[in-house]
Amino acid sequence: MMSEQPASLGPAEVGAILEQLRTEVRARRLARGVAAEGPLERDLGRALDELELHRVVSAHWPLTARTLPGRVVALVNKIVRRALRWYINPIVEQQNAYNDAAARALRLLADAYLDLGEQLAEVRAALEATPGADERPPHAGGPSGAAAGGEQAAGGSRPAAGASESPARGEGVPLQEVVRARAEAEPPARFPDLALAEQLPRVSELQAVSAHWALVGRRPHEQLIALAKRVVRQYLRWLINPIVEQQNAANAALTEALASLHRLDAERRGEIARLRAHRRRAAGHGQ
Amino acid sequence: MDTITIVVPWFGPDTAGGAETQARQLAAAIRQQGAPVEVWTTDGRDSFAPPEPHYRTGPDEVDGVPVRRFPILPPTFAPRVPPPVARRAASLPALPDFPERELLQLGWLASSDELLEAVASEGDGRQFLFVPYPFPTTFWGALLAGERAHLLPCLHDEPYARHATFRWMFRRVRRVLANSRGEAELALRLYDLPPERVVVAGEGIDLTPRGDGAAFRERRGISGPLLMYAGRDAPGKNVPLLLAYLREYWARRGGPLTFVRTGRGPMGVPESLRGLVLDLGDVPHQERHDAYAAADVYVHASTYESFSIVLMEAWLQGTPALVNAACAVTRQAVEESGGGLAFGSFAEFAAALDVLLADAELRRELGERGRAYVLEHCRWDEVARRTIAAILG
Repeated sequence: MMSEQPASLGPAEVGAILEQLRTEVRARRLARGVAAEGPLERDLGRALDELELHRVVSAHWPLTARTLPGRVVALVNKIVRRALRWYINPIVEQQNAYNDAAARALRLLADAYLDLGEQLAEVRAALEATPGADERPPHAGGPSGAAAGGEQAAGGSRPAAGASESPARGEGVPLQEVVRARAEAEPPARFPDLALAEQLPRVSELQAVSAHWALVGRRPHEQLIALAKRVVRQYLRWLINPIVEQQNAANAALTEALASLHRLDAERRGEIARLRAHRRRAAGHGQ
Repeated sequence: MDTITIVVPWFGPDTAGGAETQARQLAAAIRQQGAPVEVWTTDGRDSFAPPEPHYRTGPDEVDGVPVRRFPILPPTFAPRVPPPVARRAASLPALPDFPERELLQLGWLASSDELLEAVASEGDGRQFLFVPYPFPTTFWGALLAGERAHLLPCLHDEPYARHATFRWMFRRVRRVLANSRGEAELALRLYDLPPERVVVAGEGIDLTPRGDGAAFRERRGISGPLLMYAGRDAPGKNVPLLLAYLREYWARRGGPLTFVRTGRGPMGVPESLRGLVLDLGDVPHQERHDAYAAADVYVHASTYESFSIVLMEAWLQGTPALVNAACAVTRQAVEESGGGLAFGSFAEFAAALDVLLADAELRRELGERGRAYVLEHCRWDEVARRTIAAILG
């Protein structure tokens, strides 16, 4: 028998789990030396929690009634719903797959936003700690025209503070090992934007929900059932298609909004990188 | 002697794509070795164009190689067994119960029923070489060609490679010709093939171009350290990762740095990184070779490679390479040649660039090793000889 109750946790239980997760995330962020969340970040966290609670659409809510006529109607409704599972459920599942992908993209975007905030705070702190470092405006064209001429310049200039010494060569140490050893001294880097970049194609891929997948059968009786389903689907187009089309328009708009936010995130990351590079140069490194 | 018949979805002077370019150069090289060779293809242009006729259907000749073009089939969006296969179902091996989505995918890629019919009915006196692996011309063609089927898969570690359809196909063909040792190892691992069925025939490149790095820098107004990548911003090429790593490296080091990209299509560079990134798009061949020669380091973050023509082209110009350690093909090429370094993380990316950019003599040394490797391994005549031996031997 088909269950009439969604096989998921109740809102109160989900809320408790989310609160626990929030506490853990806060603790981890504090452990990383990141300042406590402000009210805007808290609002964002709660909005994402709500999203998590509501992103799954169910086609199987309880159908009950107290009176006898009501029970008869509920029973008929259950039968109709059950008879149309082959049609409705795949549509709902496609929408849920999209909602899941879009919700994940939003969480990644929020993570990227928090990371940007941390980077900005670090740049501000560094600029405040080195007065005069920001007197020269960041080179709008980046550092490429700033130094050294010609092809030999690459080797002759100091492209990196950490690259000032010659690598250990001719000492029997394979170069790749030298790289590994140097890499251990490199401070860790986070790239939340990469996870987001990976997720967005998935969101685009799932945005178009289809109500018209192939209905075929291999054996004669399967072909007969498929034909009957095609007839029913053809009849119900007036009801289902406008709903799916409206939902698809909403999905497409959400996908485009996510893509725009991703482009904005990339732009801001580039700006902060330019500020950091400028600060580095101004502080006397990388010349 | 049987005619080596190369079957490829698209083929011609206007056709773009790595596997298609390889098929064209290989066909010409086989012809130069004196072996009979012919190409069977559709009349479509390439994977970047709509699936409609572009070339004239029927016989043609490209680089002196006879070509037969068959009508391209419009994509179908339902699982489909081509009529030439369906008609011969009784005499062909039974198809396993493949997942519907895999058969569906075969339906919407470029194919030609007439081409498949020719494979089935005109196979006598021919040995077929199907290029590349994830196309219906290859899958159904290999089934119809039976013992005469050879595969030049251009395989890389992507989701398609794990499809049951392709696993079945790899296990049925007479021989698999790999472009590199890394590709051969991947095929052996994924499909559990007997080692003797997989031959590393390799791939060649044009060894004649000479890049002018100084002229490139002057034309483009570039001074200081220059990094380069040649290729599209396509899934698996890892361009977002490369951009993110470059951005962070630039931010941390602060020194002068320019990154040049050549290749079809836009790269999607934020305005704020325009000073760091010079996205040249599709440039003439000579300009690309000039850029290789101008670059201090050629950076290749892609993990979807069966050979990497652009890596070899960069080495040909004596430029050392920094490749993604997650790509067995390019990592092994770097290890075998000594022509560069590999990175498995941002920390290694940064450390490797520090090491390379700080030492011009080291770069020259690694670049020379890369060039020597290319001159030894990427000769088309050698590749053609190995290919002929694998197919006709």
